[in-house]
Amino acid sequence: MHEQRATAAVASVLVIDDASLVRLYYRQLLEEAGYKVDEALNGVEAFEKIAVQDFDLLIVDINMPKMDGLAFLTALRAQPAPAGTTPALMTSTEDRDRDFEAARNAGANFYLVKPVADELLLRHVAAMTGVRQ
Amino acid sequence: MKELLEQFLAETRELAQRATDDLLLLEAQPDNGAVIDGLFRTFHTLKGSADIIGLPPMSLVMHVGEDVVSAIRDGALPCSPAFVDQALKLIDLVNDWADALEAHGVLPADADQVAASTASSLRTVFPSEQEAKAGSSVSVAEDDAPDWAEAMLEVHCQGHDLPGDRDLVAIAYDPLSNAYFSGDDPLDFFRRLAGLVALDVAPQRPWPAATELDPFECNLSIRALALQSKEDALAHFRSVGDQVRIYSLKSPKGEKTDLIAAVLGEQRRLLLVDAAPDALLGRIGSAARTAANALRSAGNQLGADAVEKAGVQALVVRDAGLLAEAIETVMGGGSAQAPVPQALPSIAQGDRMLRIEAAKVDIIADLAGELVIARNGFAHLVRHAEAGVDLADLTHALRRQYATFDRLTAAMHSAAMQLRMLPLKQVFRRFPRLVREIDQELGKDVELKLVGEEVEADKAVIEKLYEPLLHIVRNALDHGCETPSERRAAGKSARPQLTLRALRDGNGVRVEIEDDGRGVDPAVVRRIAVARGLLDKEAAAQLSSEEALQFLFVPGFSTVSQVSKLSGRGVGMDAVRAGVEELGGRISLSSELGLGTKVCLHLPGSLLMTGIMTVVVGEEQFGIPLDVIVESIRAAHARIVPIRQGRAIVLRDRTVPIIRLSDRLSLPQTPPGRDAHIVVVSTDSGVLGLEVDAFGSRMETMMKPLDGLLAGMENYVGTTLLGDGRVLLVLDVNEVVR
Repeated sequence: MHEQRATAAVASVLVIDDASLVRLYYRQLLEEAGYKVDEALNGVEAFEKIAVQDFDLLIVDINMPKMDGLAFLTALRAQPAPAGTTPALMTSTEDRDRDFEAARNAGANFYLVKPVADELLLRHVAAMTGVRQ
Repeated sequence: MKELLEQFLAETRELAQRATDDLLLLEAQPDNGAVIDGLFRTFHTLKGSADIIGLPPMSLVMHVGEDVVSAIRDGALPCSPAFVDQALKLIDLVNDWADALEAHGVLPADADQVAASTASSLRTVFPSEQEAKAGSSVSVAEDDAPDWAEAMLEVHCQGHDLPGDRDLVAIAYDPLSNAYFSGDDPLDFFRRLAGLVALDVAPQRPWPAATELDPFECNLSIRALALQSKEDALAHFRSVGDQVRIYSLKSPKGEKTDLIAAVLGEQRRLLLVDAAPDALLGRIGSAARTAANALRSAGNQLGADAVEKAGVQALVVRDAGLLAEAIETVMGGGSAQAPVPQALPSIAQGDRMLRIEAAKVDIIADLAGELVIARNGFAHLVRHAEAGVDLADLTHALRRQYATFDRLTAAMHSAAMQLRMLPLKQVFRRFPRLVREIDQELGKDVELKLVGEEVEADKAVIEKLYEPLLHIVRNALDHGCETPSERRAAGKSARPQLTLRALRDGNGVRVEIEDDGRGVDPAVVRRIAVARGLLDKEAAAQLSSEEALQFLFVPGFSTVSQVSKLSGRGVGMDAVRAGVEELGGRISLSSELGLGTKVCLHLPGSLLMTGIMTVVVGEEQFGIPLDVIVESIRAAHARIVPIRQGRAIVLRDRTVPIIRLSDRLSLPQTPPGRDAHIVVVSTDSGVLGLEVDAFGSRMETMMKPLDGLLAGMENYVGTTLLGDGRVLLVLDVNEVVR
C-alpha cells in the first residue's frame, strides 16, 4: 500500500453523496490511501465544483435530492472535456440488473453496490484513476 | 537482440538438418553409437539455445527429445522406426518455429499447446515399464497442496498476479546427499524449469559446524512454484523422480486481473449502448480515460497507449465502436495484467545469413594484403615520373603494374564470387528424408544415392534448385521406379536405384537425376503428342526416339493418363524446364526403355558475371559465352574440307564440323578473308566450329536474360552492354547449332 500512497498523490476524487457519514468514510479511506478528496452533497453542487476544478474520478451515489446521480451523469456527459469525460464510479444500494443498466445508460464507467468494502473500493478507485497496483 | 536471433535461426536450421541426417542414418544403422551420440549433442544444443533465446515451448520439446535419445544411448530403449518418425516430426516442428520466428519475431500462438502434445507423443516412445523405470515414480501427490506451497504463494506472489488460466505446480525436491556424485545438478533443474515463479532453497538438516562440513555432500531442500502442467513437471524431473514430489496447485485466480477485466468490459458495454448524441463524446472520452487508467494501473502501458489512441480516433469520427474494438483487442491479447509481449525484431527474408568457410575469407584477406602492396608500387612510379624518367621506361613500368592489378582484381573477384558458392549438399541433403517419406506411400523401397555433394554452385542457384529437383525426383519415384514385383518380373534387382549426382561442368555444374526404372517409351510419347495435337502423325513418325522424348518438356504434355497423388499436381516437366531456365540453366532427358531415365540439369556456376568473347559477323558483333568455347583458331581456307553437304576441319586428329554463323543467323554472307576464323565450341550436339569473320575481345560481363519484347527471341541467351553503350546479343550456342 505504500507504493500506492506515493503515486496516488496527484489523483483527485470528488465524492458526490447526500449522506455525510458515507462522505466521511470515503474521504478518510481515500485520503489515507493518498488521494486528494473533495465532496459534494448532490448533483447541483457537484457541477459547481467541477466548473472550477478538474477531477480524476467521480464517485456518484444514485439516490440524492435535487439532482440524482443518473440525471447528474447524463447532464455531465453532454459537457465538453475534460469535465464531460471524467470517469465516474456509481454506487447504490440497488443491485438489480436494471439499476446497472440505468447507470450505464447515464454514462457511468463502473457500478458498485453499497456497502462497498474498503479494499474493493480502493482497488476500483486505483484502477479507474490509473494508480499502479 | 537481432543478431542473437539471427545467429539462433541460422544455428537452429543447421542443427535441425544435422539431426535429420543423423535420424535417417540411424534408421539404416540403429546401433551406430557415434550417430546416437551426435544426435544427443544436437538435441542438447537445440534445447540450450532455446533456453538462451527464451522459448520455453521449444525448450520443453527438445528436453523430452533429449531424454528419449539419452535413453537410447544408454541402451534402455531401442532405436525404433517409431522413434525416428516422432523425432523427425519434432525436427519439423522446430523448423516451423524457426520460420515463424523469422517471419513474425514470435512463436505461433499455439506453440504451448503444440509443444505439450508433441512432448506427450514423444513420450509414448517410452514403453510403459520403461516409463516406470525412467521416472513416473515421481510422486504425483493428489492430496491438497501442502502448507508450504500456500505460504510461498502468499510470500512470493503477492502483487504479481499469476495468469488464472495456467496450471500451477508446487515442487518439492530433496536431493540425495550424494547428488553431486550421481551427476545431478539440483539447482540446474530449476534453472531450466519453464514458468518458474518462486524458489526457496534451505538446508535439509541444520548445517554442521564449519570444521565438520562436507562440501561434497548435498544438503539442500528445494521448494518451487512453477506455471506448468503437472505432466510437464513430471517429465522435467524424471531422472530424479524418487526425490521429487509434485503437487497441483489451484492458481490463485488473480482477483486484480478480474477487476481490471471487469472495468475494461464495462467500458466496452458502455460504448455499445445507444446514447443521446450530445452525450456521445463525454461517454467515449470517459470510457477511454477509464480503460486507459485501468490498463496503466495494471502495468500495461502499451495497452493503455493503444486505448488512448483509439479513443482520440473514436472522438474524431464520433464512433464509439472504434474504441470498443480497441478495448476488446487489448483484452483479447492475453491477460490484461501482462504487458503486451514485445515482439522480437523480425528479419527480412532478404538478409538471411550466409555461413562461409573461414578458408574463403582468408583468401580474400590475403588478396586485400597484396592489393595494398600493389598500390604502394604506384606511389613508387609516381615518384619516378616526378623525377622525370624516360617515358618508355615509365610506360613499361606502368604496364607491369597494370598487369599485377589486373591479376589481383580478377583473383579478388573470383574469391568474392566464391563466397557465394555453396556445396550442392545443401540441396541434396533434403532428399533422403523426402524420398523416405514418398517411398513410405509407394512401397517401392527405393535406394537413394547422393554423389558429388561437395560440388559448389552459386547461392542463388542452390536456393532455387530445390523445386525443380523435387519435381524430377517425384516423377522418378512415381513413374520411373517400378514396384519390387514388377522389377523381379523384369529380371532386375528388387530395389530401384535413384541417384542424385553433381558434377563440375566447365564453368558450371551438371546435376543428374538417374533412375534404373522402366524408362520412357518414345512410342507412347509420340502417340500422346499426336493426341494432344502437338504434332501430326507423319511428323511424329519421323521423330527420332531422342527427339520424341523432348516433348516431355512441352507445356501441357503428361505421359501419365491418371493424375497420381504425388506428381500429378498439374506441374509437369514443362514447369521444371521453366524453373531451370530461369536459373540460366538447361534441362535434357535421356531414357532407355526398361533400363531407366536420366535427367540432366546444366546449371551456370555463377549467376553474376559471365565471361564472353565477342565475334564479328558482317557488320554485327555477337557474344559467345566463354564456358562453351574450347578454342578459337585461324586456319587457311584450304584446311577446311568438304564432307558430304557440310564442311569440317581436322584439329589434332579430330574432325570438327564447321557451321557458318552468318548462315545460322540469316545474315548476308561476306567475302572470305585471308584466313578462316573459327570458334570451336562444345555443345549438346558435340564439338563444333563456328565460322565468323573476326574475333573481338574477351570480357567479363553482367549478362541480363532476355525479357520484354526480346523474351521470345531464339538463338540468344541474353544481352550485355558494351563499353561504348551498345547492346551486345549473347548467343545461345546450343540453339544456334540445332
